[in-house]
Amino acid sequence: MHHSKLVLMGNEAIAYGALTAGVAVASGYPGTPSSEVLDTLLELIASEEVSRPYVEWAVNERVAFEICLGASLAGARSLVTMKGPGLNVASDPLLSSAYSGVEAGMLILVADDPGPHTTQTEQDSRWYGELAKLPVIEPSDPQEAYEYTIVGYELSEEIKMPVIMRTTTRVNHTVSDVEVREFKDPSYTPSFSKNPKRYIRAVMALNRERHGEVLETLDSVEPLAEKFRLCRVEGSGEVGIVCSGAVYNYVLEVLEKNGLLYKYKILKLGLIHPLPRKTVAEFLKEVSNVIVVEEIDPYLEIKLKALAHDAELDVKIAGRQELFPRVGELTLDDVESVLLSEKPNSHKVNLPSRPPPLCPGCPHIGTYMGLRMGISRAGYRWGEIPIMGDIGCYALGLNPPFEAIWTEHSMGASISMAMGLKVAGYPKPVVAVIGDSTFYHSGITSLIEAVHKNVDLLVVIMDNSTVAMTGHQPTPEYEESVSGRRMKPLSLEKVVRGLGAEKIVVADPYKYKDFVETVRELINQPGLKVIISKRACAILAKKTGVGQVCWIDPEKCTNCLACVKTTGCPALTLLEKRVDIIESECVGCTLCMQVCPYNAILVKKRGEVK
Amino acid sequence: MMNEYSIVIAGVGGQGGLTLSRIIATAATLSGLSVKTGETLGMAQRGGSVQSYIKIGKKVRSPLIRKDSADALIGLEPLEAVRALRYIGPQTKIILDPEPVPTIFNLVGREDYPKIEDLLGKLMEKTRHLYIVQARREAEALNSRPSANMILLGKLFSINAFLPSDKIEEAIRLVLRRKADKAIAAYKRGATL
Ligand code: SF4
Ligand code: SF4
Repeated sequence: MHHSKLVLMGNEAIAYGALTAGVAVASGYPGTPSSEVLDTLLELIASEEVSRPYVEWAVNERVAFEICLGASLAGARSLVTMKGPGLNVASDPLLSSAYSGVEAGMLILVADDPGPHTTQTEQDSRWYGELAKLPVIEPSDPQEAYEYTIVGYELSEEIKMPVIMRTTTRVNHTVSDVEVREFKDPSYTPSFSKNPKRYIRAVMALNRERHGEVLETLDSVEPLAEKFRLCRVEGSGEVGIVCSGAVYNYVLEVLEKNGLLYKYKILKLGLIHPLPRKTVAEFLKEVSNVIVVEEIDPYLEIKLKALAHDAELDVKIAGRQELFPRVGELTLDDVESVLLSEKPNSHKVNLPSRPPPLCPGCPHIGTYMGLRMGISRAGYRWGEIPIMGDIGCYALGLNPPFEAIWTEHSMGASISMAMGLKVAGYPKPVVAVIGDSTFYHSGITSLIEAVHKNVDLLVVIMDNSTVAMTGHQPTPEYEESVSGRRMKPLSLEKVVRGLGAEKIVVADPYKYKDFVETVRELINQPGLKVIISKRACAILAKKTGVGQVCWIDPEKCTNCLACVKTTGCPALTLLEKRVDIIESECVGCTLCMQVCPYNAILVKKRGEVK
Repeated sequence: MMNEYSIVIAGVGGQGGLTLSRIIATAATLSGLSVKTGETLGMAQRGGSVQSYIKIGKKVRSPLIRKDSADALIGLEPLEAVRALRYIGPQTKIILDPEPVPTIFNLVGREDYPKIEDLLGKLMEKTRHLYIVQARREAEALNSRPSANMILLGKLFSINAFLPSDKIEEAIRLVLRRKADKAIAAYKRGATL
């Protein structure tokens, strides 16, 4: 077999693993830290001579999940990817999927984000294994992520069930040297046959019967974990350490650095659910104390305590419930201070924070400027009218200079939570802001509800033609996918109209005065109003080339800083306390120009000397 | 090369910290070494704090770096360099571009950017190996603003040749492809500063 050593991020390694396993259908919805898996697959299939699998982003995680489930039933190995909260969206089909089972292997990649670095909650998706009655495997680094992806398919096909592969940021986003093998052609003959007991959930007696079969199947997984070498014991000391995922490497590193390997015995679990009870019980018998190192919840810790109790083992087990911090991502220092029984010393330095601002020329800047001024023209103070936010770059409108949004909850929640305020009798106007991709993902059902119930609400859909936050994945408005596939582009305006909304204004966030006027006019009107704020993401626009930029005429500029304070545009900078525009950053949106009270900002051709 | 070499890169999103870390990781692999990198943030936006960690050695376990233990800190921005203070010990070589990037709070007049002397003071309390390089200004002089990161890498390399030099150039070519020439010029310029 042909091997080669590459430098890969964990997510890239998963994509390579999927192609090595002959994946035929892959889908998902972008979400940090999972997005690079599909992004990489798309790049690889464009460049490699493999017979092309179907790889496309889907409108949301549950749709992606169901596509992959259907594909597996037809005999295609499938991969579905998402971040932790994405699995909540896909949890409906997920829970039925143990009952339906699969034919060809199906791997569900869910990327959790301890910390969290970029996620609304510190969700530990391992619990889904229990809830959905599916096996969960967890790799500890990019090389293992590659191997486990392949093993995941074999396990899935042995038991005819989807397999969840749970990762965390430190695996997904770690770059390391990875040994990879040749890609396999996905060869299969598509077929599908009726099997009511497995595929139809409408007969309750059959559901109960399937439940029993599912549990029996899960009982057969432990021997397979041995076959696929998913768990291993290292060392021979008297103190036990049980761990899984990225933290396994922290444990080894700390013990190696301190010359303590001989003191400990390590059980590294690659199979998290069902817990390999025989392996764990044997391990627990040989040690008197066990430290459980895991990310995020005390999941294994609780399982181990229950097992020790059942087996009447005299072993003391401790982990995140008492030894480690209960929240946040574990660090090497956390692991070291527990293993060396040292007091953790906190390294807090109080420094000004640096939240990411909206990008130079970001259309969301224009939308928030327009909302702020429009609301004030309508006679309200800024901060008097709730602006219900949603998930995407525009959530950064929480920072100065806008401090616009009041909530950011879950995908699509802006519209339905705003509706909740209104039906509860909230006396003032309420605004919901949502991005195009989030709208297609989940906001669309919320809007149907709000239209149908005829709620007094101003909905602003910020249409920047991309899924910007996660690295510019396509929306349903794309004509062609990264893979070269021709697609039917939808029109947001037509979709919204088709849902029954009547008052729809398409506005350009770069046209400040018009936008302000639109908001002023609509905010007090009864019923449901939709503004589609339409402008391509500034980063995309930059890629296609920026012809004009703005510059500041020092003769006219009084350094009043109105431009900076109104837009917060990062292309505006203060050099020795005087404002200036960094030409290489400016995209020439002219928003700053439109608010300069002294007409000191002017347009020029890029590169032109003034 | 020593047993293990660890680098922290601290900067603002968009300054090229992640690219730099990918280049060093590639160079390490080309040199037949084991490498792991990690980062603090994975969003597409620019302008927020970003830290990357790189560990190179015979068998690297984790991408994280223990407190006080970094061999080098590449500071693309002074406030961000101080944010990485916990990794700095007496052995750490700091290569710093001292030019501040104001935060949004500074720009809108909510708070002042810390005094540069105070920031440098914090760094020097922990190590005496502080090298100041006007990387962005130098890069602009080379007409290649995005290459400030390469200038800092060049400087670090001239102090501490932690990998074979030809492998770094090879890695720059592999990672940056068409943009490699400018980056290599900046890398070489950095070594002379
Ligand atoms: S025109 Fe003004 S607001 Fe727009 S990107 Fe340039 S500096 Fe920023
Ligand atoms: S708003 Fe106009 S006058 Fe005021 S600082 Fe900006 S460019 Fe100068």
